Amino acid sequence: MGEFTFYVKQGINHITDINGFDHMLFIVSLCAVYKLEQWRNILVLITAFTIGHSITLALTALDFIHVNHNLVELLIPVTILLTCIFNVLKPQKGKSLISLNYALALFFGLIHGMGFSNFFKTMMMGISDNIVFPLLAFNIGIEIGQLMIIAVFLIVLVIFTRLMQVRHREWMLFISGAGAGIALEMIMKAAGKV
Amino acid sequence: MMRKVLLIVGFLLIGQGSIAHPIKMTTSKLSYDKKSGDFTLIINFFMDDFSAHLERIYHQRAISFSNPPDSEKGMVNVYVNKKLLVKINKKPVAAGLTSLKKIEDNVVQAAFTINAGKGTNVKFIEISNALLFDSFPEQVNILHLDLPWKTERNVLQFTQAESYKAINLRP
Repeated sequence: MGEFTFYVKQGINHITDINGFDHMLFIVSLCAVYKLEQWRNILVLITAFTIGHSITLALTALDFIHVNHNLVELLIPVTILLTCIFNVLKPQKGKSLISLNYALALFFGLIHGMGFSNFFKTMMMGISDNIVFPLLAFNIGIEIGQLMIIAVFLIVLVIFTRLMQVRHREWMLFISGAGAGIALEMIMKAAGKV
Repeated sequence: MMRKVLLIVGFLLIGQGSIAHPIKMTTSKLSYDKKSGDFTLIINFFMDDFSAHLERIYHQRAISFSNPPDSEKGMVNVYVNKKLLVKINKKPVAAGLTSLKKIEDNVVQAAFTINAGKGTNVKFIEISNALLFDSFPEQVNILHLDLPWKTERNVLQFTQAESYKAINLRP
């Protein structure tokens, strides 16, 4: 497999890996407040998340910043929990909601990027030449993976809210409740390692 | 208040530059020098995984890799030749250890030379990479192929389910 294709594939596999579902859970929790007709907002939101994680992934991978990975592993589920709490507490309409969501996606993206960096740095262990090209390919893979997650999310959203006639508020509460519960368990596990 | 929280989180996030390591992985690079006809194989191991594995299979104690004695180097040479098999044009070739050193906090690098024979027309390479699979079923081994006959570098991934790869270099 060519180098570019290899790292794109690694990026896709990393974010869609069911065994390491924290990033996936964050994306789903972030999108839970949106309805199907708001898919453009979801794309903008995911772009904000991408900008955030790309910045810290690049800075960490290129050794400009060094992070405490145990703390990052704790903060990732904290971002999920906070997103779920905001979903439930914040006003359900208006521009302020969308702006807050973008800010959260961007800021929390910074933390998730540090999480991605550990896997990327492991792949580059001792293979230090030409790190920029693999980094770009890995990031593209993550972006493709995110879009795949959102596509599946939108299909499930259609099934629940259109075919099964579940009210959107109930759908959002279900996703946020489940996300918060899983995140809490992850926080308790990660807290012991910090 | 928010600014203070961000400052504290930012301070706590600062850590060492080393890799935090629960991922089970080795990275390798196989390159070819046309002039000498030698392949160079570099393998990077997580030191804790590698030493634990060697200690387990060879019943040794406290392998550290800092200033490794000849006995440790010999052990690594034997182990790698047993678990990472290279065939050039269908013929098995042996790898000879040239160096064993710690390159990062928890990373040890083993370098090998493989002599394919000067002037050999390399057409077919087969690699079987089962490093550390015995101890860690989730182990993934990545190998970069840097060959003069190919414009793009190839990257191969070996897992327990797929530990053999063949590369045809004929145009």
